[in-house]
Amino acid sequence: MFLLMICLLVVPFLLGAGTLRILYGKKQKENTAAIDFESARAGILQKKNDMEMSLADCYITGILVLIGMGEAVHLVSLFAKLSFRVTAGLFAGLAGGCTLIAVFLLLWKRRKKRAQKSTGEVTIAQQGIYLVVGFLILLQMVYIVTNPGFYRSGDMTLETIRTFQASDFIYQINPLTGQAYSAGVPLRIQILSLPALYASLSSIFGVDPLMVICQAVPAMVLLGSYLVYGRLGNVLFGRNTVKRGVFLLLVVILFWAGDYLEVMDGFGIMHAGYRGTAIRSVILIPYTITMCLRGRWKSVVLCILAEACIVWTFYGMGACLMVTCLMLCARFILGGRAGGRSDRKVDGRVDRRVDRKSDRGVDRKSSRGVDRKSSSEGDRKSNREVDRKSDSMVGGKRVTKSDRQNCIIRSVSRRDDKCRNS
Amino acid sequence: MQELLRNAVNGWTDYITDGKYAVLFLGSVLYIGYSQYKDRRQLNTHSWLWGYAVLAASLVMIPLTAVLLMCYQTRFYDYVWLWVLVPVTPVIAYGGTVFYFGSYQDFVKKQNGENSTLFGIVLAVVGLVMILLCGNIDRKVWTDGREAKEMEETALLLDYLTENGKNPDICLYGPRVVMEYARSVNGSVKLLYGRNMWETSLAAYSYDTYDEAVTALYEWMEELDTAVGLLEESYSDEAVQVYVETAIQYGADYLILPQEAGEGVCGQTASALAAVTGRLEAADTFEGYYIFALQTD
Repeated sequence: MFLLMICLLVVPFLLGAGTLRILYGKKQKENTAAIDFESARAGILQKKNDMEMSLADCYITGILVLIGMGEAVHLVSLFAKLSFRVTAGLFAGLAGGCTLIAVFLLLWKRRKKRAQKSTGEVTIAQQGIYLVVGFLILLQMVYIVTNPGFYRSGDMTLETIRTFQASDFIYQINPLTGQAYSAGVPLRIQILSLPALYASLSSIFGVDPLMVICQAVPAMVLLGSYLVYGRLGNVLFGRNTVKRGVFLLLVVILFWAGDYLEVMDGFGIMHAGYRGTAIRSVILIPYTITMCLRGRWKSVVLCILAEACIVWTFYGMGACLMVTCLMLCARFILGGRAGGRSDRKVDGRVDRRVDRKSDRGVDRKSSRGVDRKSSSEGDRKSNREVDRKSDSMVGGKRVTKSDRQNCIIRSVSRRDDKCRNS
Repeated sequence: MQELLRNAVNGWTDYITDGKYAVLFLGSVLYIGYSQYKDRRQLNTHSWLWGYAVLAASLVMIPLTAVLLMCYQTRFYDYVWLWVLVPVTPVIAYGGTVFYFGSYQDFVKKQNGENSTLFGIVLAVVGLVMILLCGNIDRKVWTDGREAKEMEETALLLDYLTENGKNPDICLYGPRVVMEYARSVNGSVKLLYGRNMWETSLAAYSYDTYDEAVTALYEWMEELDTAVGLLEESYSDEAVQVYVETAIQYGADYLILPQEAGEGVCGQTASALAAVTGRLEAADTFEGYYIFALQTD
C-alpha cells in the first residue's frame, strides 16, 4: 500500500513533466518572452516564471496521461482478448517505460534555472491561511483514508475489479452475478478504462482492490483537486498569495460542507473519489476551465479525451467539451464588449483603433495558446498607471507598439523595485 | 419531450432542496458582475470565468435549453447532473474572496483602519456560517460503518461456504445483504441475480435481463427477508417446492434463508428439498442464516 501511494505521488509528476515538455517545450519558451501591449492593457501582464507550467500542472497532466495509458492498454486487451494478467503486465511495462522516458527527457532537456528571488517576506496572515488550508486538507485526507465504508449506490467498480481478477478476462463475465454475459455489454461501457486501471494497480502492487478504490485513488484525487484549484487561484489572483490562500480555504470549506447531493463536488471528493464522475467534477472540469483561461488548448484536449475514457457519457460528447465551448463563447462575447467599454480618455480615433486591434490580438493570441493571466486586484491599480502612462505618450506624438511595450516593462519593473524597497 | 421538460422544471427543486449552494452561486455571480461593472474592469480572465458561469447557469436553469442539454447527455442522466457544467465551487470561492477583500478594503477606507481586524474576523465568521447553512443542512450521512460490517459478515459466510476458498466455484441464492456484498468480497462466487435486480440504474450497464422465474425467486426472498410474524401460513408447500425447484434449475448450489424466515418456512424448505432431491437434511445454520445445499454430488 505504501509503495502504491508513493508511486501515485511520484509517477504522475514525472509523466506529466515529460508530457508537458513534449507538448509545450518550445512554445513555452517563446510565450514567456512575449509580453505584448494588448495583454498588458488587459491586465494580464506578468512575470516570466508565472507563465511556466508548475508542479501542479505536471501532476494533473500526469494523471491524464496515466488515464490515457490505462485506456490504451485496456483497449488493446479488450479487442485482442488478452487475459487480465497480460493486461496488468502491459500496463506496468508501459507506465514504467514512459516514466523512464520522461525522466530521460527531463534530464536531457534540463535547462538551468536561475534562482528565483523571493518577491517579499511571507506575512503572518499568509502563513496562517496556508496553515489552516493545509490542516483542513490533511483532515480530509485522514477522513478519506480512515473512513470504513464507501458509498456504492449506482456503482459496481469493486465487483468489476474482482471479476477481472477472478476470471482473468475483461468484460466477459457479468460483475454483478458472476455468470457469463448472455446479451453482452454496451460498447461505450467496455471502453471505460478505470476498472481495468484500478485492477491493474491492485494486481501490480498486491493491494486489495477495496483499498485501492477507497483509500489510494481518492487520496490522489484529493491532492490533484487542490492542485487544480491552487492553479485556478493562481490564474485568478496572480501573485496575491493572501487572496489565493483565502480562495483555497473557501474551496476546502465548500467541499466539506457541500456533500449533500451526488452531483456535488464535495460528495465526489469525500465519498466517491475513485469514480469517473468525481474525477471529472473535481479535476477535469476545473482544470479545463483553468487551461481555457490560460489558453493551453492542448491540455484542454487532454481533459476532453480523459473524460471520454473514464465517464460513461453514453454516446454523448462529455462535459469537458461543453465547458470548453461555453468558455469559448464567453471569451468571444466578452472579448468584444470589453474593448468597447474601455474608459481611456485619449484621442478617440487612436483609441478605437487600438481597441479593435487589441481585441483582434487577444482572439488571435488565444488561439495560438499564448498564456495570459490576470493580475491581482492590487495590480489593477498599476495597470491603470500603465494605461495612463501610455495614453500620455499617445497624446504627445505618434508612438510605435514597441515603444509602448518598453514603457510598460519599465513601469512594471519600477513598481517591482518600489515593492522590493518597501 | 414532455417528460424531459417536466424533469427540467422539477429537477431544480431536487437540486435546491437538500442544500443551497445554488443560491450562493447566484449571489456570487451577481456580486462579481456588479463589482466588474462598478470597477469598469477591462477584458481579463475574471470576466471570462464570470461570463462562462452566467452562460452555463442560464442554459441549465432555462427549461428549454436544459432539455437540449439533457438531450446532449443522451437523456439518461437526471437534470441535476446538468449542474456539473456550472462552475459552482470555483465561482462561489472566487466571489467569496472578492467580496471579502472588497468589503474589507471599503471598511478600512471608511474607518481609516480602525477596528479593521475585528471587522475582518466578523466577516469571515459570517461567511463561514453562511456556507455551512447553505451546505449539507440535514447532515446526510452517506457512509457509515454498516457497509463495512455487512461486507465483513458476508465474507465470513462465504469463507464458510467455500471452505476457506477450497471450493470457490459456488452459486448462491439468498437474502439481499448476501447477494449485495458477495461479489464485492469474492469475484469467484456466482449469484442467481445481482444488485441490478433492485438497483435499476445498474441494469443499464448490460443488455442482460432476468427471466420471470428469477424475478419471482427474488420477490420470494424479499418477502422472507422483510417478514414480520409467522410466514409458514403464507406459503403452501407446493409453492415453496416450486421456488426450490426453480433455484436448482438455475444452478444455485446453496439456498440461504434469513433468520426472519422462521422455523416454519425453514421446515417447509427442507421438505420441499427432500421432495425434489430425495434427501432429507436439516438446515445448516451460520451467523443467523439457514443454509441448504441444493445440488447433489
